[in-house]
Amino acid sequence: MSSRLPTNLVPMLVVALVIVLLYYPLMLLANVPAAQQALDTGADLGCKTALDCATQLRSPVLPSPAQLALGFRNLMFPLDSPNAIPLNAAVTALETGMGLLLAAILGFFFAVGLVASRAFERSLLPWIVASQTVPIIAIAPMLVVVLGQYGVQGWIPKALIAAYIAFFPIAIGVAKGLRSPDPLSLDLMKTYNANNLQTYLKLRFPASVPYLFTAFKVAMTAALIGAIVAEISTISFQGIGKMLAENSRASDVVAMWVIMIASAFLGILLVAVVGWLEKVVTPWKR
Amino acid sequence: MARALQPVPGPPRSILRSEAFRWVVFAGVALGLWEVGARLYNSPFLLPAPSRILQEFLKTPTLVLGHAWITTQEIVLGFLLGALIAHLAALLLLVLPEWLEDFIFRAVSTLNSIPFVALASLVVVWLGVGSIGSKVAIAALYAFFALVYFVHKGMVSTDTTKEELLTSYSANFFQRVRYLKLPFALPIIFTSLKGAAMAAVNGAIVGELFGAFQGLGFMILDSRYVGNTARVFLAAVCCAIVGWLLLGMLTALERRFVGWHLEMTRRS
Amino acid sequence: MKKIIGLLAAGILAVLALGSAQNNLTKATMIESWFIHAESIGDPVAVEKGFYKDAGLDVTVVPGGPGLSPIDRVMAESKAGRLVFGIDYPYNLLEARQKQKLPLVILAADFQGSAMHILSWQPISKPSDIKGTFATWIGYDKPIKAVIGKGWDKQIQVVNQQGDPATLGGWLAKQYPFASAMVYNEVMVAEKQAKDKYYLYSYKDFGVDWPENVLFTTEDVLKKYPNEVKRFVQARYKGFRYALDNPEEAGKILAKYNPNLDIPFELKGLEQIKKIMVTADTQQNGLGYVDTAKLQKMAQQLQAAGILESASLSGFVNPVPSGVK
Repeated sequence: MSSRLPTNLVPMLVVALVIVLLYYPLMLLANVPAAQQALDTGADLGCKTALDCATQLRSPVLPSPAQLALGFRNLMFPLDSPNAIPLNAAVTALETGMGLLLAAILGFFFAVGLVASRAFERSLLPWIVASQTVPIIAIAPMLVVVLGQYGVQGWIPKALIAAYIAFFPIAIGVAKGLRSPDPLSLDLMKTYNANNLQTYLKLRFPASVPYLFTAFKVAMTAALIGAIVAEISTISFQGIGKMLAENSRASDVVAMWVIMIASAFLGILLVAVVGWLEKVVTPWKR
Repeated sequence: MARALQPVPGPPRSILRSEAFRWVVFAGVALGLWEVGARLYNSPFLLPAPSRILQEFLKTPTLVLGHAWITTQEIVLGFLLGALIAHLAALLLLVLPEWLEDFIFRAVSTLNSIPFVALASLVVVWLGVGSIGSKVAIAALYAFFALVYFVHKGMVSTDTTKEELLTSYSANFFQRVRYLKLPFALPIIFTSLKGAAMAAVNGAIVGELFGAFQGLGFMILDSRYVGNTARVFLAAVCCAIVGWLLLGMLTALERRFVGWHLEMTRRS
Repeated sequence: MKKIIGLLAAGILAVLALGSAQNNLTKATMIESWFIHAESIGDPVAVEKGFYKDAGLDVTVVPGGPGLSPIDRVMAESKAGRLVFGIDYPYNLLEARQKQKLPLVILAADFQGSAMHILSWQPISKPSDIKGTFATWIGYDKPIKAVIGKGWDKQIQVVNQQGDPATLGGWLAKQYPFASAMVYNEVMVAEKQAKDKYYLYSYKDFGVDWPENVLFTTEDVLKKYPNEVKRFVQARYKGFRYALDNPEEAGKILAKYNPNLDIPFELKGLEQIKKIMVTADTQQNGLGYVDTAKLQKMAQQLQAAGILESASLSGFVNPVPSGVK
């Protein structure tokens, strides 16, 4: 692993550097026409040339690095403010994490059921597949209020929605993994006179681990998106989604970008946690 | 291998019949429970009964079907676009040198962890308010990310001995894909295509929540605004039906192309 | 074959002729603050009845929606040098003008008083009775903050009503005690759905009496199209007058612009809208009358609540009388 790290890190850093270097001219390219138009109409932007104005448009196509930095400063501090990013991101992360955990537990058992029993698959799979095509965004607002009537409030309904979205990729991924041992290995287990439980413990579960983590990574993102959508589309007091909804109405483009970048970092961080877990659990890989 | 791709001659008729029967039972039980539950709960603004939703549909059937048709186009176009790009990307990853493949895969997973809902309202501003372009783009984005991992995984995790066999036949890249990688990955591809179809449904609806004036997502928002929850559910039901049709088609294709695999997993 | 070419040529000529006829009209865009509902009825009616055309304008009515700020969209069109108008609440416009320095100008006011009311499960006799969670749409929370004044954040927690099922579902399910409600929408939903006794208050009861749904544009548009702006305002309120006088016909036009609507519900809403559109002031000065004194008081109340830094309206109000009584 330590020998691989540099080979990954170097191209990563190179590309990151290229992106940073390209961003500025790209930003100018995107903003100069808008600035020129604004100047042509005689608007007072407080700057003389389109090039000057490109970095300080009030609703830029791409915000300039200085605008982003300022936006970050405004939205990150004070760290414990209910309107700043850290606290809201933490709430969203909690919803996502709990949602994923719940989805993982349910998905795991569901997958075992699918693989172990044809009757289980026949009787339950249609329900699950059918339920997954219902757009959760449509139902989420009602769900949150109904749950609220029974005292389930705050982050829990959002975590449930995240779990609902993350459940399917996990269940499918695990089922694939459990089925991944080739017939030869399964036959080998039979020659050892292994019972069903032993086959699962010694062969199927270990074989499913790589699939499990791939599924986790996909599901983590799905859960995060689910949590944010749930926050946007239901009554919510905290979270990235609530910040997005507020700022999109307040038409603060720079703030939208800042929140988006922050949520991207949150997503990367959460997936990295899964990656780290994968390394801990499967030290033999890579 | 080519022989294995042939459909398995079996008793498809009776299976089909019992499959259809199971769906009817499923639908009947689900609707019955829902109707009773909704009547007991007695808060139609939170949980309308199916009979009310049907009434809502009968009020303006052509209009609802019109909205559904628009969203269906977005879903199907988005799904096809996303699936195409995902497969091209997976193939591309196969030919690239390992460090670049690794890097791009990381870049894709990083991009995947960006919650694109955050982008949706901006995408709409870029691609135009009211056009279906932005909705197709978002549906495609959802479908792409639901697929690319699994297709890639399926393509690279072929057996080394089989790879070596093909090398000994001096097979070129396309032969390798055609005779080994694709058949091997096909079962995974079909499963994840189903996931991608569901993702495309959700993506199209998310897209329609911002800057759409037609389609089921718009119907959801506009009906919610006037407190017509039955109509919100009607839109959701339409989405589900579109999703089922798409899944049904994919399942039929799956039977046609990887029926052999389904049989194998069932037997094991 | 020749016949076909002849027909084609005639067709092209006809299209060109039509095109040039329309070219005499100035293109204009009207950006609504939400999907097309009863409160926007004047615009579709003015288009369909030809009022805009008579005024030399070719108007496109553009619906709004979640995440689509009319201010942003008007600014974008205006930057591109086009003739554009929008509808929003005066306090959002004033805030954008003061904080983001956007050159927004108010031309007319659709609603002379507040369409927005307060729904409550408990009686409210004074502002300090409003305690706890208060649901309202993002961007429409300033009246309640002004009612309470400075320190509102210690008394209420504002929650976004946009995520509410059935627009009021959380309130109807008693998850919070207060919700803001439009007299032409949520108030009617509450009438239909609420099972227990509830209370309805006007913001006026608590001394907050501001105009709503104001027509705005930018200083650039005003400078570039002074005459078109005047003609637009006149034609627009002709549309509203016609809609108020002929609700049945207007309802049919409305259905064309948003087929999703429940027209009887919208027409019931229109009756409520009429009460705040047609007042003693507008009977004297015409529909869309701008009461500058009310706006001045709004700015002062917002300043007192700590929402705005200045109560100055300088350059913000440029009333264009419609002459439609």
